[in-house]
Amino acid sequence: MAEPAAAETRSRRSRSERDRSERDRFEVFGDRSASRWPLVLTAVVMAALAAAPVWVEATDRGYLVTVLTRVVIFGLAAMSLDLVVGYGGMVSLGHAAFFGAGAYTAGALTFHSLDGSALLGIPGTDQALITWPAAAVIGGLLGVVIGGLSLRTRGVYFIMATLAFNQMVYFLFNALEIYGGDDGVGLFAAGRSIGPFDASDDLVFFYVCFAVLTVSVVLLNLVVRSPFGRVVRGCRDNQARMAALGYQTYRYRLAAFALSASITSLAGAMAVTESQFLSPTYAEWSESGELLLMVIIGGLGSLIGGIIGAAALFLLEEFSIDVTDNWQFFVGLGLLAVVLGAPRGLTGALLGRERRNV
Amino acid sequence: MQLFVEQTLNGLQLGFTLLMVSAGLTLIFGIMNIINLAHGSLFMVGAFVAADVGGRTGNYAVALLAGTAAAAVVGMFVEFVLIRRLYLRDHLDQVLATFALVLMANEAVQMIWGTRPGGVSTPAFLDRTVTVFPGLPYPAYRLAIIAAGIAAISSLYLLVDRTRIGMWIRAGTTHRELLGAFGVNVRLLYTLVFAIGAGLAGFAGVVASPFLSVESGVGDNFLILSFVVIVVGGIGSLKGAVYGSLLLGLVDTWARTYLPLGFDGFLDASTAATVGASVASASIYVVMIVVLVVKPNGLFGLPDG
Amino acid sequence: MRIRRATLWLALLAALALVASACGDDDPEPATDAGQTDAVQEPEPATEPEPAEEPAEPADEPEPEPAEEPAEPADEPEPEPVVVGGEVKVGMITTLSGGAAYLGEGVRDGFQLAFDLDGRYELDLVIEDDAQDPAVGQQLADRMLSRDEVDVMTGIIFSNVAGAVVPQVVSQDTIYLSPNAGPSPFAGAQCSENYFVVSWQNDNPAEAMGEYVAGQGFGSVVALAPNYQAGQDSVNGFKRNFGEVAAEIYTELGANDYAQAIAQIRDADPDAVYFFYPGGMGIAFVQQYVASGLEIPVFGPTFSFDEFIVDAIGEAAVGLRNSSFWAPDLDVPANAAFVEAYREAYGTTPTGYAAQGFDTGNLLISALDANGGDPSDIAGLRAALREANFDSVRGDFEFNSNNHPIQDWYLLEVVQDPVHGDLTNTVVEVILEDHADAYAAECPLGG
Repeated sequence: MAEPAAAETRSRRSRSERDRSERDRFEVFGDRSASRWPLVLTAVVMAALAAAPVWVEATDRGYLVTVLTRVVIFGLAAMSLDLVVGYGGMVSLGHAAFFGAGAYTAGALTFHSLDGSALLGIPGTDQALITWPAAAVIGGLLGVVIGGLSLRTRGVYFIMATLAFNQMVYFLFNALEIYGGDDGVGLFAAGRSIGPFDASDDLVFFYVCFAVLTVSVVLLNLVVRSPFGRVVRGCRDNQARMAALGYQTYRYRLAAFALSASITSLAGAMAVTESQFLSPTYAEWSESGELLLMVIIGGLGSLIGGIIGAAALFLLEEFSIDVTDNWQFFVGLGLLAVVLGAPRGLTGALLGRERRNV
Repeated sequence: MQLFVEQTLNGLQLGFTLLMVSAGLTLIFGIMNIINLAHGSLFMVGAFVAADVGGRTGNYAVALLAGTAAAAVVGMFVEFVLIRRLYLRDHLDQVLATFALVLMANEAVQMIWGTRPGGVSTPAFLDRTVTVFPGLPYPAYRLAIIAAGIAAISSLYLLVDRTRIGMWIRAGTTHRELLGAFGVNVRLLYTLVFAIGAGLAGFAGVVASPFLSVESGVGDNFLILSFVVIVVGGIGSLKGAVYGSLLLGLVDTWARTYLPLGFDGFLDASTAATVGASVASASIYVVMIVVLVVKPNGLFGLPDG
Repeated sequence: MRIRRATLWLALLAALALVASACGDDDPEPATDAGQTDAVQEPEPATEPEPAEEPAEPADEPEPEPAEEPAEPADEPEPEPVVVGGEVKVGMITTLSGGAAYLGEGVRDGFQLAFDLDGRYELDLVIEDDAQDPAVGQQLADRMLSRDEVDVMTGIIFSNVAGAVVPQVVSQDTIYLSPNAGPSPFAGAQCSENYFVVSWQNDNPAEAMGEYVAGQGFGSVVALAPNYQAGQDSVNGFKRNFGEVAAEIYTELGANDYAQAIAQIRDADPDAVYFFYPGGMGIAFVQQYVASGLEIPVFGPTFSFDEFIVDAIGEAAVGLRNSSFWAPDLDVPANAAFVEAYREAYGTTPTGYAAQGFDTGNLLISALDANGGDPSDIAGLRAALREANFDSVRGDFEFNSNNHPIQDWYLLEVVQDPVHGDLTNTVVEVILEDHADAYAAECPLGG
């Protein structure tokens, strides 16, 4: 990535302490992103994730494969949320709405294929090659609507507005009596068809999800390094300046928001194919908080941080749930520690240390 | 007509409960520029402590006092230990740190009180009905909630509008730096405001608890509704919180009553009830969207939120 | 300074993760890559969370681990110890938190008591709280089936949780014994040879009450229920034997504020009110109903009038009538023994939920006896379960073609217990004899 304009750097310096900490916060890689380390870290994490199922199978704990699949799926959602929060500076507390929208798009199509009925005249299908892209499209459209309205506001209004939209979507799903209302509906009879082959096997399904994640990692890394990505970041740092330079900041921000919504929605579709159970839980507001939590624990503005955060959270859950039912207390404590002590998350800590060694 | 009157009273009761939560939230935001997701947890603390104390003493007044005081003290403690460090941080840090508090509070109440909810019973002298309308007896306790809401908000208004502390508070929303220059202990003022907001939330938690299952996460719903109130009313505006709460309380209750009846004509009873209830749940968000489109800073918000 | 603080926090986090993973499974985990081992100064939690972990009152449980074979119940006139026995791993997903926690506790304690009294089988009970949330239940089931590899599953209280869990369990060829929920879809078209309901089909208690209320000559009735499968089943069951109702009011599941519903009852002004509100919902509803000044007589299944709920009403509850498959004073030898043993073990009169759990445990024991104590022999277990060869605390018990019970339904009345002084339910009369559910014909499992 190119160096930021010198003028911009100067103007940043002159702003209040608070803004400086803010800029510092939002990008783990910061000016260092020209370095190779972020990409190396990304490659290492992806390689570890790819090898993980082989390792758990070898150590006779095959049940962990589904946990790893969830890491991949939620990591994908968290990573796309990072695009909005970390790079765009738009603190969305409503991304579960998109996750849920994806889940309901894929879940509804699957439901109707089991049921043999039609959805608005369209026959259902459980073919992931159709349901997943459909979810991405629906999620993107919803992102345009919710983002379009929420981006009319700024700062804390934006946070509250996204949260409120989240809740509205949640109630909407609760109203869908055909899919079990607030109870949800099981889709256990459906297969996991992906193209010509069947991914009912957990291991196969993991690698399918992993492939989607890999493509998304590459895509999002290209996006944030593109001119488009630079404008989005410019809007985060100083929207007035970008507007003065002639950029339609609203449109850039909205486009980033919609892209993120679309990928989050895709992750939601994958989640419902994985669990074969559709329920409004996917769209609960606390889910939005958890996605944000993953991004932060992993490290904001790093993309790969979302995946690291998801891994940290799910594995902590997996290994502590036998010890205490109240494991979330310690998640909260850990989050507090990260926010107060290591605002750059795990990724920031890793790279910060490495940088000193370089 | 009788149904309408009764439901309007129910709506006002909801509105005033909501107001007690959102008034504190908006005050804290207006003065300290802090977005506090853990405000719902203070509501929960009030309800839990009251259930515990009420269960032990059997005395409603003691429970009310204990619940309110506990929430205020917890609020002060949290402000002192954590929130203080967030004043200069961005909103994202505030959201995260207070979300962490929500997670911890939800688990902590389970660790302390277990997962079996207790409850507060209504005080004996309010355990009767008042005929508010010919042929319509209405529980005295619910009327008392409305009265308590009016009293709490009026005293808050008097405090902010008529006292020296209130003057500082008002000054704090717009001229923070100047206030310190005049020798006001801004830190202490912030702690005080936070405690007042927390106490109000706790108070709301106690008075509402006879109608709640006092369990982990009981305040979350009120938190989100309060956000909607604030988006509608305008951040930092007490007036906005008043109009927003009452508007949303009434809209929600009326929608819940009349929408299922409306759907009854063409859907079977249980479907009409579900669809009606869910559409009704969404009704307040429709109000919010309209406000966002027409006045992005809320009905009474300052021009730059 | 800043860096050092950050490192410290991270180390703390890492230490936490380590502690958690170390205790969880004797093994490892990547997430700790950051902090390494330096600076583990804080001897952090690990000890702290323990006390709150088990929600109930573990202290006064009789013999939580029936690990030893013939422990206490040696003095019971028990069936002589045949040389069967062995281990059985049961996954129990039930409700142990919120206003309905006592429902799950009743089922759990009853089930455990059955194995304790029998004493021959080593019961490995994997028990988790579903928090009344279908999504939670579904995840728990997933975990129990794939990770814990349980032999049999049971425990669910709420039909919405059952709706999410049961299809998954039975599709993986694991037997599910329902100690409570009996949602209508699984009694009819979606029935399964692996799914047995030991309690009742959801409509049954309501059908009995509909029959009784109709017989009492009430013209217009308003029916209330939470809006979920069991609530709809309950209202449908009531209407099946009563006829059309004046209004049906559905409230949110788990709601505790009934002001709006009460306003609607007042508006409809019926002769009688039928309501189905189990657990904390029942307590909240009856208290607010009494406080509202409404004086219309109320009826319901016994779930709306269990010992916890009538206790919340107090003396005013005496005389209220409800329908049930069982009561503590039901005159059946097995029942008298059960009530006495339960009182001795837990210090209270058992609820209907405990009776259901007890019967579920004994049904499983009878099936294990029949197939030689091999819980992995699904086909043998299935055949033995169908026979229902056990002494039910409700007397006659038999499975219909859809694996749902055929049993008698009683009218109960709330009275003050002459011995113990608390409020309890007593049998008044039989309402329906050898009653079967309405969905068996739709079930393809023909007997």
